[in-house]
Amino acid sequence: MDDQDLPEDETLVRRTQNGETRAFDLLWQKYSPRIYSLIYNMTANHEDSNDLLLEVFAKAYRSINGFRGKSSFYTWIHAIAVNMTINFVKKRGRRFQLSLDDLDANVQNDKELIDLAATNTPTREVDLSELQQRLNEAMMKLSVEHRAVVTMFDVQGMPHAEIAKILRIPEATVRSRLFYAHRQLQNYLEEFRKK
Amino acid sequence: MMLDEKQLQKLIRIKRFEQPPPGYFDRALIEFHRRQREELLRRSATSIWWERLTSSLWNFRVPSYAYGAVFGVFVVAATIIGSGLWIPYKDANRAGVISESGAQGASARLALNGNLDWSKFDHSASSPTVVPVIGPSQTALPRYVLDGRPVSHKASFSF
Amino acid sequence: MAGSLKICIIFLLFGVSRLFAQQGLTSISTEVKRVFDQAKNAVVRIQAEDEHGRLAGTGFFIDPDGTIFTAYEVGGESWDIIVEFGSSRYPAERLVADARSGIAILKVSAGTPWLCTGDSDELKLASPVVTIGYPMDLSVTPSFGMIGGFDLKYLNQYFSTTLIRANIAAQRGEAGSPVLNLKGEVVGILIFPIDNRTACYALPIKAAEKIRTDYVRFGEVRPGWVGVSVVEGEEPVHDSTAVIQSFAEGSPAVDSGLQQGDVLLRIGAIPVHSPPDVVNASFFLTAEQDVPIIVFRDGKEVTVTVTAADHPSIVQQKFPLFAPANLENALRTRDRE
Repeated sequence: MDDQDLPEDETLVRRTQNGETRAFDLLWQKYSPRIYSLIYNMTANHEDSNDLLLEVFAKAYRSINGFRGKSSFYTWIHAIAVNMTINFVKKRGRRFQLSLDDLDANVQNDKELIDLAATNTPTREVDLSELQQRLNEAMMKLSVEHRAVVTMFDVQGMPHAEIAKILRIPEATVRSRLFYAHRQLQNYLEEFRKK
Repeated sequence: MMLDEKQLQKLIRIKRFEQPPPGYFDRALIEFHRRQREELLRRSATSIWWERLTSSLWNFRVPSYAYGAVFGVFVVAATIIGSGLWIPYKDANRAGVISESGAQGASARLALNGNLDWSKFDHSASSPTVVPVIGPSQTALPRYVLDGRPVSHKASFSF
Repeated sequence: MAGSLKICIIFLLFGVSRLFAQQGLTSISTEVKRVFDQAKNAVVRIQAEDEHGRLAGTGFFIDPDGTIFTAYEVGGESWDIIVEFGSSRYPAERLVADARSGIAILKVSAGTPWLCTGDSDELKLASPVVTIGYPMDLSVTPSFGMIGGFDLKYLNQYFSTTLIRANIAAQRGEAGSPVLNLKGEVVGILIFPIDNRTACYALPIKAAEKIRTDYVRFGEVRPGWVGVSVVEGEEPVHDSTAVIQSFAEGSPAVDSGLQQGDVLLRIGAIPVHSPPDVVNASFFLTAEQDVPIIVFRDGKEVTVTVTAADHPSIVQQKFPLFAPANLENALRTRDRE
């Protein structure tokens, strides 16, 4: 997962601190897709995610002069995003919208999807997009903190250690949250399959 | 039958395909800049004035005649004091001379304490704290530039 | 009677067309004034000194933090650079200068208005453009004209990338002026005049952004090099006559998967139709970056990705876009006045 090119980020941050707006544009290009993904998986709402994405980067830009490089920019901006989104979701309450036509065309060819379809029991055919929808519903039943760890670990593939740094919690807590969240999701989905 | 851990993780991983439409991030960047501009415009006149003031103070250079003026004042003051015409008390003496060079002192202090990195500026014969205050009558007209020529070269079609 | 009626109609039509023309001209003038009013505060006069003495030109802010684009001739090799902005004068430092493209990037320490960049690829023949500059010692001035063409060479002298030719009579002091579309977005930077200043060449903003991005990432411009030589094929294949001839020794092209005889269709983001297109494409290569190259071979399209290397310095020295104005040139221009 180590696709962060540390020297390049350091350079771009330094240049932004020197007043080069263009450097910040390059950081945006690099990080906005994954920050968006992080936010979206926690809010399940495009509009809110769009607003939050802009707010996160605005905050990053405003505070960049205070960024001392103690952590990587990658960790720093993820931390801003997670914290801002958690605060937002908690204030907003439990309302959410499902956006059903989210799945990119690419997903049809995804190997994992094909594997999954192949392992389906013959007793009940599960429409995959329906399963996807159930998953999203199940995700929204989790607390926002649990959603955060599931998004970072399962969706984005970040290692436990990185998640721990971003959330500023011990690695053991990350593991136990994940364990609990997976259990919850399995239960919700099982309820659905039984119906 | 329950989805096992691996199957669950595979299912969740598919969510990474949930992307906004193509071109979204480029458009959002434009929106980001628009909001930054709006914020700048909304900034109070005071904060803009302050920024102009501080940035112009970093750049302030004492015009050369000021040195002469200060020296002149010093000579006059020294003459007056030396001839006993006026016996200042401690503070007035300093105040009298420093009122001329006060601005210079303040700006020098600001320039030294400011966060401007002088080493980045081109070094030339004149001092780094440069804004030459050149009035139009003082010097000949500069060369107005628009007369470069492309250097011709034999095109080698390679990359 | 019929005759005089015809004459009446002709006069009427003439009058109406004059009216429309007048309206047309008025609306052009309104457009130009609108663009000018919006953009003029971000355009600055630049004064500096070089080995030939004091000089003056134009530049413009490209971000709110005082970053300025100007011509290489103005800010590339000069010192004591002063930028006039509003009623203030600020010293400027040079961030990077690139003789190949003909521009320099400067910076002042101040919060500034700035121009938005447009898409220079959207420009077409006869697209209307506005330039804003400081001619001679006069105040900021707009000019209006049309795009005359997109050239890779002029009078057998090749540029390092395709330049925009505009039918605008730029005046001395206007090197570094922004070229704007009617949306007020900057699409080019005025670099030099041709044919007695009746037209001029501008660097597309896309090329200028490449320089700025390189500077932001590396602190310097890093042209990329793949090492492929190209010749003109006899017949266009898939709309291209650019054929790979050979590879430079020790270059990234060697053992890359490219083959002699491959017909080049695309280098990175630039489509290729003939060997000169390759010159333009190479401008946008950056060292250490992966370049997807599409070729046509054995009846099908093949994509080969090559990691560009730093451009060998010898080649670089041969291809600057132009030499900064020297005294001879300056005198020659004056004599022609």
